[in-house]
Amino acid sequence: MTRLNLAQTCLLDVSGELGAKAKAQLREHVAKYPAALVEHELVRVQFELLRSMPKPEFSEGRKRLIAAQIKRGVHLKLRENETKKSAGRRWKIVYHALAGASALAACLVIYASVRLMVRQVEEDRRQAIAKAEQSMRDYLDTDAANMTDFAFDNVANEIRSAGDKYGALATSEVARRAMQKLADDLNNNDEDDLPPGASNDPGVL
Amino acid sequence: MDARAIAELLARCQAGDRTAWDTLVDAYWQRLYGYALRATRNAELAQDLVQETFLRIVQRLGKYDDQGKFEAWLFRILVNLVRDHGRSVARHPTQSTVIENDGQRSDITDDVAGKTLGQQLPLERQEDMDRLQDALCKLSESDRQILLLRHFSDMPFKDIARTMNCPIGTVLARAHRALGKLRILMEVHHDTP
Repeated sequence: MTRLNLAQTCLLDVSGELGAKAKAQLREHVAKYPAALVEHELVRVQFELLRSMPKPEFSEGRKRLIAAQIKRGVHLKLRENETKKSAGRRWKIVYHALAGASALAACLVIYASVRLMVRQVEEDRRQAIAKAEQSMRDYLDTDAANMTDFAFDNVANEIRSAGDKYGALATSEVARRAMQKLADDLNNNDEDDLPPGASNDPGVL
Repeated sequence: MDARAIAELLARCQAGDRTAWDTLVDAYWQRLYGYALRATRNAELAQDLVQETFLRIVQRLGKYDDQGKFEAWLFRILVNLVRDHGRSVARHPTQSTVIENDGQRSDITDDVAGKTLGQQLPLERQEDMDRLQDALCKLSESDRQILLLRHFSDMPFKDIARTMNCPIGTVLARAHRALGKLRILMEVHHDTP
């Protein structure tokens, strides 16, 4: 046992913090070595000096008062924290609500834009079909037997461009009717006068 | 209060149970106050510092993970508050509680602490206590902290080691040195005519 360790052990002993086993060892050591006994006694006296300092003693009333004041402060702080927390929770709810509303509004705007675009495309298609139908009607009103190749090509091109632009479905009905009429007219004429590329099969350009 | 009881109490405090907070204050305020009163020698200031310690606990307990070191944490907060206050007083002497009077240093707050501590003591004993108090003031801050925590807060050396975040051997060595100095200072005073 070094001197420092002895002093430390003595200090723990006089302050009542030494375990039973260590205490017995210390007693044995102190009994064996007079220098250790001196050291132990010195530490004890020094510690007694500290122990002699009176601890604050208060009347029960003063104790209650101090404790109540501390508790009041603690309760105030707790209340303040709760208020802050609930305010924070409120803000969080408002924030989420605003974020939700913004997302909903954005979705509505996108949906409305898409709907408008689709409607515009539909309108364009309807107009194109109407135009094609009008062309066909004009053609149907003409005398196919006297129609030139040039006029036939115009009608065929118009049907094809309407098909390219708006899809086969948009023009198939018009084309079918036009081609049916064309075929009927042509059947009435000489087979040799058939324009190049046209067939008797309705619906085929 | 054993570690398990403290852990249960802290769990209730974390859940916002006000009765648990009252129990916590009741369990510790006197030990904290004992240290703060001796360290600051000012009853009002000591109470404020103890209150501030509990308020910081309220603020931080939500994030506190109990590993059986609550007491050490609690006292560390108070020790730091006392130390910070001491530094602030040293930086701003106008706010100091210490005044110079005919070349003799005396604390205006001694009245408050002295009344509390010394009312029942005979005059001679009171003088001894004053000398002991002065001798304590002459110790280094860390040495004084150890002695005050041990005596006025009834804190075992191993808990002091946790509070001060250093090995128990260091705490014991410092305490031993501080007690030696204290005795020498007292003897010098007695020897002086």
